[in-house]
Amino acid sequence: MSVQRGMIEEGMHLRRRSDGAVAFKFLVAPVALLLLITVYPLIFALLTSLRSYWLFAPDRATFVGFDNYIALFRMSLFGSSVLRTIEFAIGSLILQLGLGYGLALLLHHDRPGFGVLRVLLVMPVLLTPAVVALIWSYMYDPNIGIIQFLVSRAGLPVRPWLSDVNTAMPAVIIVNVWEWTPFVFLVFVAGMKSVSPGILEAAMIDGAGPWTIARHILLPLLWPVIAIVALLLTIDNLKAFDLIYVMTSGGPGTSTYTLPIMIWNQGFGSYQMGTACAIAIVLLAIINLAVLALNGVLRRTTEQGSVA
Amino acid sequence: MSKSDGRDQDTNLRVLISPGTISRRKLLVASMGGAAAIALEAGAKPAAAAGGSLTSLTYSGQRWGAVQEGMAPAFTKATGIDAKIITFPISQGYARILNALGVGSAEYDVIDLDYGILAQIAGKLTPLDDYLSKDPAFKADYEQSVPPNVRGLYQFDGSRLGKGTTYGIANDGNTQLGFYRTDIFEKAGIKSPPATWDEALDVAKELTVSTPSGKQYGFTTNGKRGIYSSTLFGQVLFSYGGNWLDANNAPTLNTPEAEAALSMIEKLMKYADPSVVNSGDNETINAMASGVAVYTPNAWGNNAFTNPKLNKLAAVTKAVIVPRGAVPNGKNAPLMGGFGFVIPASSRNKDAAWKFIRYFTSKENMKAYVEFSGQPARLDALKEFAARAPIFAALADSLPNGVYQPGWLRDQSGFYQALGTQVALVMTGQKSVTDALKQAQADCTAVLKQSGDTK
Repeated sequence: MSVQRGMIEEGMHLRRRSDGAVAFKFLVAPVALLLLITVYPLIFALLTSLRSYWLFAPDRATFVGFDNYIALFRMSLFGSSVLRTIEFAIGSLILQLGLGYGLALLLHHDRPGFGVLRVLLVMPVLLTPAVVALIWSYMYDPNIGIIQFLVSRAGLPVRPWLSDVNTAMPAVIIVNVWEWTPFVFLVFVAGMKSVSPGILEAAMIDGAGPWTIARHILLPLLWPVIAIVALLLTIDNLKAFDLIYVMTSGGPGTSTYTLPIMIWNQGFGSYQMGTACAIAIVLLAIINLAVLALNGVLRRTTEQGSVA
Repeated sequence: MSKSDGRDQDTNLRVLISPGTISRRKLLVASMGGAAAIALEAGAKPAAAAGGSLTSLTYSGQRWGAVQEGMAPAFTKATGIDAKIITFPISQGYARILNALGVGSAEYDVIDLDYGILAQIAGKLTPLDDYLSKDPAFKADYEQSVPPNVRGLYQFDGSRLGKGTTYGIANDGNTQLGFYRTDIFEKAGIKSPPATWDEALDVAKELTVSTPSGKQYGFTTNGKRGIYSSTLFGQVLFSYGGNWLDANNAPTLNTPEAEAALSMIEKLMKYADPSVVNSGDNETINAMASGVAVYTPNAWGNNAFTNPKLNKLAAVTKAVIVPRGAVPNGKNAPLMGGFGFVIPASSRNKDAAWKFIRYFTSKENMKAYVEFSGQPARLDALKEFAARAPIFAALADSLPNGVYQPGWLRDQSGFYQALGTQVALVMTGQKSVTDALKQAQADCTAVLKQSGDTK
């Protein structure tokens, strides 16, 4: 009996070893790929940020320690760029979440025509940001744009939306919101559909109206979903480049000059890769801080949900 | 190899190596088939031209790629040299050239180079003085027809452009130019385009009016933050007798001339088309072509302003030299653009490349050059073919007066970013002239110190 058990254990041990070997073989390629395309560039960027690295003369690159980081704080544009980046990210996030939630509330029901509406609403997400930016640039054009035309027809004051320091940032945020709100809407619709109908029926029997259900039933139940969407959007908004670059290139003046635009200007305008990488590392740190904060929110809401 | 050939070969390979049917023999057959196809493809190619071959790198668009592609067959016929023309968007220019020269690639034999990066890559280029001295007829013609300041764009002595070794031959000339609507000026009783910046301000004020079709602006320009706002400022600065750098590349932006120049731009902004602060070339052309703006004193020279195919108002749009500052040492001082042919040091076909350069810049081929929508650097060609492109006459006036962008700086772009940001802040009313110049002086100094351009 014990011999038999021993043989079985030996067999299981061999099986486990064999499984481990197979798993290892499967993992080698993706892990190597991950290291190559994610970890290596990150380490390279980190090391480059500590060097005076001018792309025209890489052979003359020298180690300068934290000089590039210190230089950032002496740059007149750095502080304002950080603020613009946060302004763009938070402004976009609030509108994206608010509108996405509102649209999901309206259209998550299975009614005739709602399926088609949902598909149509999702279409902006399918477009390339650069294309979106170009289309909206024409729409905002003070001379030939449709928005100007409609505004003037409505008897409202005509403005050069992208050329006015007061309206450029809101105008760019609106485009970002237009493009990514459908993504929020889509996830929220999926979240709402996963809520047990019994809960909603019970609430209605208790006399809850649509607002109460939206505010006190669906919203708390969707918190984990909202937190994850907020996390993804925050990351995306903080590193937004293409939309802003195509629409304003950071202007007028410096009114839309965000950190990604600054990275581009340093890296591919001045070819100062050391400075560009230092800004990129700072941006990465800001993104990580935001992720940590949102993770905390997510953890708390999940814990509250499980207690409830 | 045609596309259909490729697909057929690919299909055969897929059948041969499909799961369950693969064998060494089949693989061998497939390899032999592939080898045979490659051999056939090689055989199908036309024989190399008797005079050799070369590859030229230029930019897509009428002014560059269309010219070379259009003239290449005649060049091959005349010289026996097979010319392969590679074009790419001009926005990728610096990076593409930098990559090719940086790795010592022998891929290109001729490059149509923006002089802005010549100093940075001079060490990777072939000096052309020997070729010029061995070809005295061409040299004499080149020196007679292309102004010294234009030729100097492609000469570098290790610290400045304009003297020293010749690395390029100017083929394309450009400067900033003024463009104005003749019909609107006439209607307003303005007899001639503004000669000074003060006159430009008066004209801008007078022509900024409400019309039945909307507001008309008396001023537009390329004012986008960065290189555009910098070159806008630089041009006005030079016209007031100022300069942005001293002999040691230290910024000189805290001078009375700089104050006068930026103050003039600030005053003009009151009459500016609203899109000016985000305008590059295309936006300025659009503002003029749509009739929203009727005068731009210093946009970058561009045939689109006066080309009836691209601008319905072309017939009433005229090009002129930029205004000068109304001060004792004021002058017409358009910043120069333009391109020159260079031969990479790594080229294996230098003699063929020289023949190519000679062909595309010679007097006898200028008719074809212009017909294929080129914009020559030769004054005689600009004058002779002025009827073909209305900007040519203004360009012929402007080129001899043209001043250099600081192409010798290692970090010209960083300098432009730092300066252009402060200029843009004044243009958008976010900063005073004095504060902006003070900050520009500090920022530009920091940039140029970091790049090692100044001490």
